[in-house]
Amino acid sequence: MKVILLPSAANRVKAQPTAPLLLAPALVLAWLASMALNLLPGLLRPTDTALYLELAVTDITQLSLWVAAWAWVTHTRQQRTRLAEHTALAAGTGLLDNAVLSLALPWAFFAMGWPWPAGLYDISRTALITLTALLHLALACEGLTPRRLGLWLLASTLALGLTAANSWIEHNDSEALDSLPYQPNLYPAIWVKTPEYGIEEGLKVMWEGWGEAQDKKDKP
Amino acid sequence: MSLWHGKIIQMMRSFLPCLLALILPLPAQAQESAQSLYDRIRPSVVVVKVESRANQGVASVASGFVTARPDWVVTNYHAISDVLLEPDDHLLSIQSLQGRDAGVQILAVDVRNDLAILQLDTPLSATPLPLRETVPAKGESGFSMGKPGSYEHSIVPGTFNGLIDERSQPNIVFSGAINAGMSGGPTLDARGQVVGVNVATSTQHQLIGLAVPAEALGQLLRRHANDKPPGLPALRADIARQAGDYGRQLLGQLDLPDNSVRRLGPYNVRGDLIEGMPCSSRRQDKPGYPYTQHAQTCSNGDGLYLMDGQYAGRIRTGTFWIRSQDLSARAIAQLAERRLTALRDVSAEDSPPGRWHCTEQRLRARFDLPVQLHACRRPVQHLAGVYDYRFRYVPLNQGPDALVVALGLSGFDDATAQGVLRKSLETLRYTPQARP
Repeated sequence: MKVILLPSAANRVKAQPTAPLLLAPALVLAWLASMALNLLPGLLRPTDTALYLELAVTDITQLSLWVAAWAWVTHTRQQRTRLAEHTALAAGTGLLDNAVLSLALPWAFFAMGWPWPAGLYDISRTALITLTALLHLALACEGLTPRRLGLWLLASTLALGLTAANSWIEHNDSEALDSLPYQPNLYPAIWVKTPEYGIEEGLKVMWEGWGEAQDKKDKP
Repeated sequence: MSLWHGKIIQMMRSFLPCLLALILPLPAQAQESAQSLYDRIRPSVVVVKVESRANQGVASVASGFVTARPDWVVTNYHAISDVLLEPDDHLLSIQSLQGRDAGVQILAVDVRNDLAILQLDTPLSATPLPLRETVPAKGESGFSMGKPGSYEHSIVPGTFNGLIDERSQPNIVFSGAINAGMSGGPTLDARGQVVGVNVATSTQHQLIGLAVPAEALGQLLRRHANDKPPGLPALRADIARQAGDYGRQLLGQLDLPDNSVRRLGPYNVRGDLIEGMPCSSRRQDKPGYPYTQHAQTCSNGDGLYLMDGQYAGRIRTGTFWIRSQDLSARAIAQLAERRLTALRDVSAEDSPPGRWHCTEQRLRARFDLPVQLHACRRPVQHLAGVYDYRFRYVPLNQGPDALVVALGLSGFDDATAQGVLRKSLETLRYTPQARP
């Protein structure tokens, strides 16, 4: 008997590639491990446990919602979710955020003795998220058209602009007058580059670079 | 014989007081009552009033007195500092028995002794009060005069009790009720000579008033005997210079070897800033926490008053030693970071707001110990070349110990602030084998 299969939605679903299926859980685990690596040294007081647990739950919730949203968009266009690919992409981004932007990069600045610039983390994280969003978009729409690229560019520029503005406001509003603009960035003192200057020369260099610039601004 | 003898005794009884008054005039004056002294001195004591130009509201009321010349009134610097530093907002006047007089200019200020000389356009019909430039003996009786707040002019009896040297300059201790508003008024001995200028009262003790010795006033009067009012910009420059001089003197005191170094775990750190004001140390950790924390705080006192909330030559240091055998190196670094973050808050210090400018520098301390230094500076309003500073530094050593050092400097010039910081950094030493 000849059976004619009706063109159902189930038949239109393409076979899932196996690589994302393996990659996604691996990246999720790596992301969770990197999160633990960042949060665990902060558990210094009995009250810290609840705070850091809350941070971890928030991160996991945000990533789940992000993946679910992209899976839904993909489903509306392709009638399949591509959940594993979206999960791998999001977890990979989270891993980069935790391992590179939150740890390796500031630690490198610390090791070299460079000040950690205000807003650098927020801006670089926003840039990473917008790039990830571009990949999600390409995945959901099976390619990018100039129009979609333009829309992404617009949204990315807006996001980066808002992040930069928020960072500026945080450091320049009236409340900033009540606090010293200190950017915390301390790590264990291994691999620290030997400072170029001793006390005498170091203070002289610091005053020359800092004092003179301020003098110009603060003429009473 | 006995009658004649009796008459002689009677005559002696009648004339002896007059005779003694002629031969020994000072003891006779010493017996002058507070009432007659008040009546005699009162025309020479004035009210120094600072009003807000915006609404004519009273910003501050203090006392003053005529000395040296009928057109000179002496008061405290802190009584007129608002006029000097914010002349667009404040108006200075004096109120004497002759009435209110706004024709007043500031001739000279001595920030260090908290003194100011005002020159009146119209001299007062009052006798300039004579100065006695010696410190009264302990137990000597005297009086303080002035106008306490909204009350009438008052004369207050008391006893002199030597000098106290805790403030920037020595002050006479007057055990009597010097109240708010009497600042700038005269402190008098029993003969009505000015031995000091009312300046402060202790808020922690009862009836402990302080007066600037007349010797400091005499020096100021002689220094400016032939001067004319120099104008406010020149006076502000003079205040900045005096603040700088005071800071340089403090810097010299930091060289005193006895108290300059203290041991805090494996670290050598700066100890007492000045003699007589030892640092306080306390353990700050709580049970159940995986680390211990010791804090040492030091101060050099109040410094010089410049304006509300703003002082010159004031140093505060906080040194925090953190130790944990259980935590990882990153966790110990995070503890130090949290301490640094906690030190960001400057709102509680009640100083005038201003924008901080900060920078960071990595330095090599003794024995090539890397040190991360964070430095912030902001200008003191109205005084060119005078700044507030906040320094924080952390030695970057390995092991179970971390140290955070914070220095707060108020009202210093660049060179002196740099000198104070340098001395602190030069003291720092890390010897990991040392145990508390």
